[in-house]
Amino acid sequence: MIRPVLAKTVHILHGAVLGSVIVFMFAPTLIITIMSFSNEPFISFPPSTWGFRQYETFFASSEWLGLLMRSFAVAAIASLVATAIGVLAVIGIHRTNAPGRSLVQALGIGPLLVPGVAYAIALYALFSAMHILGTPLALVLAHIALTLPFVLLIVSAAITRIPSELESAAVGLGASRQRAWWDITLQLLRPSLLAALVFAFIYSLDEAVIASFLGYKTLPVAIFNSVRFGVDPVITAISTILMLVVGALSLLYEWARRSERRR
Amino acid sequence: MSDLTSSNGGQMTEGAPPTLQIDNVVKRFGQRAAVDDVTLTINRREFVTILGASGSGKSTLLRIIAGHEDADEGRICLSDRDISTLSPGERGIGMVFQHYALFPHMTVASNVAYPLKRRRWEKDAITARVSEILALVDLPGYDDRFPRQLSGGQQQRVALARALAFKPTLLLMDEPLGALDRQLRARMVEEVKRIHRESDATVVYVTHDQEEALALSDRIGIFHEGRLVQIGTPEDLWLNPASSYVATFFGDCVLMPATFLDDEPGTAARVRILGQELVVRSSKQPTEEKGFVAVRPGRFHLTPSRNQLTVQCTVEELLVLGESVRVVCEAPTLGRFVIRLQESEARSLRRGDTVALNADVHDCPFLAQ
Repeated sequence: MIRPVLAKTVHILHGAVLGSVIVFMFAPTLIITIMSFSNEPFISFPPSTWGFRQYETFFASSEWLGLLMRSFAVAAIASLVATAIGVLAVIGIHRTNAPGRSLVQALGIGPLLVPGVAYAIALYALFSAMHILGTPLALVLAHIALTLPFVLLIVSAAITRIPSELESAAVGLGASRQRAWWDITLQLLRPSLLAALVFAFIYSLDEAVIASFLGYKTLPVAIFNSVRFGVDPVITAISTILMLVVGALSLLYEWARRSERRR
Repeated sequence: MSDLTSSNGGQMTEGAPPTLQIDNVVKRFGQRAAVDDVTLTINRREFVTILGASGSGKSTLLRIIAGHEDADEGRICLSDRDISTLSPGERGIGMVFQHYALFPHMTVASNVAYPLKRRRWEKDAITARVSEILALVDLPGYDDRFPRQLSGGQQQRVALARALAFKPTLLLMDEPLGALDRQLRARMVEEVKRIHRESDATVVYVTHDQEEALALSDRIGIFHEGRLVQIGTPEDLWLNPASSYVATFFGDCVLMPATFLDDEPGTAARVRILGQELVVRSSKQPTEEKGFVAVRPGRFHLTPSRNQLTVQCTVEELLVLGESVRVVCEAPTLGRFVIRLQESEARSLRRGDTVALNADVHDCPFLAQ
């Protein structure tokens, strides 16, 4: 007599918890998106008038557009370089007898283990000594270091799924080792390379702490400052745009991962 | 040095060097020798199988020939050319792996064309050769399919085509049929035989399956614990096993403990088995008094007659296998052993019966321990 009641209660509770989690996760996004369609000159929720005013302001502002382009540029360069270094490192670690490869593998994860602010201070000191504080170069270097662990993890997981017998076969058929890596390994790694590239790009695009420390103003840094020093409603539009871009890239990442597993 | 009984099968063209000459090759992993002083000659167009249990070192030997492993000692010569220090790609040897190693992101045609592209063949020559070789392995028109769309047998044929595409001097096959089911394996054995004939290839084939070895080979080399124990035609190995290992490995047989008494004229000897004096075959002077006489399971029957070995035993198990019956018997001093009787003879037998088995052993070999 008690069992069915208990089961039903648990079922309802389960639904309630799941529902709350979803609402909790999506509520901020929804609220900001709604606010971005407000026509008021200040942040208001719910908006009393609707329109595209905030989006018009953004696309008319060369300052904001410039910051967006900056962030894209840093993200693009950092993610491309990190992916390139990462794939070479992964091949070296998993497909050669190079000395010290376990050390490289262990160190590669390093930036993930160090607390963010501590890492930021260390980078500050280093780039200050190198006299490149406040330059885009410093931020690109920092982002390469920060995203490299993710590239290593994603691509390492993929290469362990490629039987090294395939490269032996290619070598036996007349390819040099390097040629075999290009023709076979790299081709089979393509989906994971795309996934790593997208992941690194998203990470760099959203990164505000290190950028702030290193004195190079990118879009997320500007948004952060804007919230602190007076709230310009244009940031609701910028945030919505950023969320859409990152959302689309995340879908691309998922698609890349899924097509890799389908092999 | 391993004890070799060698006989040259295949085709010996007068004056032509052997296709493959392996001299005193040793490969150690730590203290253990995976390949222990192996010497082997393979002639043009021969099909030689290296037969051995898992872990016997046969795959290691193949990898050394292919160039994927370096030997610690010894030399490999291909058509009189020392290839011991060459990389796998430079040796001009084709190889087929157990799990095919087809490139999953390339079509069948691209897979087969790969060695030709690496050797910088002309585009037209490549296209022509790919069609030719796909027709040889009976997969015409499969050019644009991908490996994942093919069955196991088809994938293995593509692997063969790819290995043969550049007309290698030697073809190596490492347990290529291991991943196929029994029926398919039997069909593929026929295919491999046909392809060998039609392509004029020289083949070294590695397997643990005796039936494959028997069906395919001109000569078979038995590999045991890194040593080439005996090499010869299937008949040689069947009639003249060099040791009891070869006798029991290569086809079942019952080993009867025997004591050597005297030499007899011809290749014969007088021995004592189970208290009976009999004449058996002996191809060489035995070094020890005590040994075994290897009797094939099908030699036994129930009707008594003269000059035959008689074994008193108890029937433990009976298994009907169609026309023959597998009988597990137990006898004092012999313990458990397996024989085969014709179904007509075995009809009256029941478990627990005591029977007198008879066997004509005059051409059974006397072997050392």
